[in-house]
Amino acid sequence: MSERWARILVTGYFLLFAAAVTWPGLTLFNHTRPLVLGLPFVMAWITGWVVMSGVVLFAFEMFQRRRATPSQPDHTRQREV
Amino acid sequence: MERWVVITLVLTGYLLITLAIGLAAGRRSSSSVSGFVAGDRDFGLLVMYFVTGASVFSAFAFLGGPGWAYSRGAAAFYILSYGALGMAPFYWVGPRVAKIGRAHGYVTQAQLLTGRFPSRFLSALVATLTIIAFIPYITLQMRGAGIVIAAVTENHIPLWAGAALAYGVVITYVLASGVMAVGWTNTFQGIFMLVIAWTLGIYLPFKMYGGVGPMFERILAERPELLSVPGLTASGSPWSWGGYSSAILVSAIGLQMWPHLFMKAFTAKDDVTLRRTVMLFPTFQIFLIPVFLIGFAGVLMEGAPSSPDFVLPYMVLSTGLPALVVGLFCAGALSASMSTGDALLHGAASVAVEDGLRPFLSLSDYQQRVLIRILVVVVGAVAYVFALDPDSSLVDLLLGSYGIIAQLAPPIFAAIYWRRATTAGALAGLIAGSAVSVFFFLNPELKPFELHEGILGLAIHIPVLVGVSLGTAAQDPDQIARFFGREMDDPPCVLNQNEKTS
Repeated sequence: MSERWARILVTGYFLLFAAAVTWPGLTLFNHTRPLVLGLPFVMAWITGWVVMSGVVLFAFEMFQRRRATPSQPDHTRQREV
Repeated sequence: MERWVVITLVLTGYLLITLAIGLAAGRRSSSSVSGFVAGDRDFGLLVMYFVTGASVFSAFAFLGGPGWAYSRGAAAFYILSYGALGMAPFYWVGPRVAKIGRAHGYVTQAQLLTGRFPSRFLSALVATLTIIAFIPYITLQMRGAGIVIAAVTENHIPLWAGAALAYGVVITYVLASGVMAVGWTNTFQGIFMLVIAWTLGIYLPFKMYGGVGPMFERILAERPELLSVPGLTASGSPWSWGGYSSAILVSAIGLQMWPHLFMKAFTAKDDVTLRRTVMLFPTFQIFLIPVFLIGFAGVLMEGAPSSPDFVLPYMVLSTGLPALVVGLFCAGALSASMSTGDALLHGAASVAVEDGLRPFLSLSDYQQRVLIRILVVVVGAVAYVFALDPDSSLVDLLLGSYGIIAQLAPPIFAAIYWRRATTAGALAGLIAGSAVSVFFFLNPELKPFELHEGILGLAIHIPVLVGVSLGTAAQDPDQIARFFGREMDDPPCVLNQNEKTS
């Protein structure tokens, strides 16, 4: 995957995030039940997007770092990235 | 020993440790303006993480967060939603700004803007808007500190003395050590408030209801309207989707534009540090969960605090916790107030001197540092006077100031991403956007769909910026190339650029 595509995916995630926690996206998930880890569903839904945003940026950072240091002896791995 | 004495002793210990850390921190930085304002651009990941997190989480989050959950229910979820959304663009914007800042020696937002859009008026306008937005924000932090100290010491230390004590410490370490003190005290305060929030947020629901799930089951049975978005307004009527959604958007856009956060791009050691700070920010954001749990725990409690913002001290005092724990809680709340207040005081004074005065006066490095220190005290004093006035409607002002701060986003993005943007366009957009934002702030009944005035301001701001830029002659390509660092042999300083155009 090229860096450009990775960027588009990350940007897409944050656009989806914005749509999922505001009107009208949030109206589809605005339920109180079931409780997730004790939290009302809608609160857990928003929390999930927040937590995942850290994971998405972490994955992107890892991706960038692997591209920036392609000097590992394993050539197959280089081709993979 | 009397209960309030134990609490006061814990509090004194906390303030002394903070002061010691703040004073010790300054020994690491140089005595230049860059050292005082931008920490010699040497903040590592640990400090950057806590500076960002603890500056964002202020007395508003620590006291206002539980207050919102308690009185307005799911409306509070907007605070949870916007933080990570607002920080994400900084992953790319931050390193770009830092690179330009390093090349030209910028330490503030207006310097970055006027480097791209040479205009002393723009610099002064940004400085003025910033200070107008900062004063109510600082006042709120001071009042928060005073309220907490007065509440837990049973008014043996009244509000005026509590606020003076806490901010006396803040001003001392900011004066002595500049941004280094802000960085290292925020690290200490950040850890402190995280531990206190999680401990109380888990402890209170378990003590009062037997767990988090059982607590929400009971709220759902007795007050189900509280748990559906968009929750309630301050008066208890249902909030509108327009108000809820636009509050998230304007806060997300405005968040990274607050100068005390934006300027931290100039303090980071390198791009990796900046990007990791953004990446780790959601872990700080999750700290709002226990904060909300504290507020929800109060919903079905008998009796009520005098104002929703006092729900946290009210619950801590009425659930029979030992004095030592109450003292530690109080220190946690003070941490939230002081860790934002110090960054704000430092930011306001730096902006006033660097952007408000320096383009018009020739100041030596030494004079700048002295002036910034004087202004830290002046801004602190002005905010203190407001903090003592119980009738000042500061929360309203703070909400309005978000509308103004969000207007800094279009010119900043245009400066670093759109080469066709012109000085006239940036100025016209900023004036139009701020004017619309202030107009709807003063006339809320005219707002369509109860949208936040900042969003309405942006709806006018962006077309004006684009239209006027395209309608005026393009900026000198050499100047733009210099700004983006193509010709770095002789990097021009801001003052020289301003002199050229004046």
